[in-house]
Amino acid sequence: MKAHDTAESLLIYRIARCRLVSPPGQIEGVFSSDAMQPISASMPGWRGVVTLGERQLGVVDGVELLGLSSGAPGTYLLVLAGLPLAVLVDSVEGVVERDALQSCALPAWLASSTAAAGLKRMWRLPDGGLCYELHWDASRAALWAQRWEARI
Amino acid sequence: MSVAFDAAGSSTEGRLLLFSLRQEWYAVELGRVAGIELVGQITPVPGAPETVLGVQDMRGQLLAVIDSARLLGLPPLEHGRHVVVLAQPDAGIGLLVGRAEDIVSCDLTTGLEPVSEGNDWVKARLQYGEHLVGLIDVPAVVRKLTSS
Repeated sequence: MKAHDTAESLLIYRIARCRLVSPPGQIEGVFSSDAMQPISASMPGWRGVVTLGERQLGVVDGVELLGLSSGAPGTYLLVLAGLPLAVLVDSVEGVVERDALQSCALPAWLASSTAAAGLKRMWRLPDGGLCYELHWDASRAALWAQRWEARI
Repeated sequence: MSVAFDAAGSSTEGRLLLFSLRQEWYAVELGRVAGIELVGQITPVPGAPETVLGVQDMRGQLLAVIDSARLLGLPPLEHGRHVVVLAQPDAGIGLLVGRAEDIVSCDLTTGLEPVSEGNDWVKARLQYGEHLVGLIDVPAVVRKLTSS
């Protein structure tokens, strides 16, 4: 399935108890975690590998990438655009138009923590729930991508 | 439920809000408390210190909810009922506690026994009935959290 149909739509998904949205261009596609194949036990931290055409992508748990303490086993794979990675997430909830999001402000002293994790800002969704806007290219995914490329 | 306090008023001088954490009791000066909220849905904050459970929406403002038990060196609090909102508007900090128990008046100069050793965040103790209550050094907690 294509992650985004229009330039204005953000994908909503969940990792552990965090709801996240990512802008167009950050996510190449969404797959079931059934597409994941086991990976060598000699590569700790990696959850598996997924093959897309001639590309092999390393699978990382979103909980690990965001530095969250715990989460349910992921059931979907987000293929990150421009990185050789797929991220396990708990669920994919749909899309939301950016215009439908309301801005929220984290306490300033927490903002630096979230920025380091690639979380640009916080929004309130139309259902009233809170979500983070996650830019994967500014997250720890870049480091994991380097690790994945180094193994080849 | 939401209870607001007038932190600027002189009527709060020498009054303490007592709360329980598991089997232990602690207190904060009422003048440093903006209010008490029921704990709500807490959204984790990736990358935040371990004591930060997440943020809770408080009528449109986000409140960082701190696990008071973990802050005080106790096992993490699994079932807190109340969030004690600190009177630090810019910091947006709430302490998750087991339950807010009571508000008492106390002579802050003679009714407290200073604590020089042990937990960094407990600056004095007082006896309240059968409970030995630790008075939390709120400014020190806020400084620690907001500089981490």
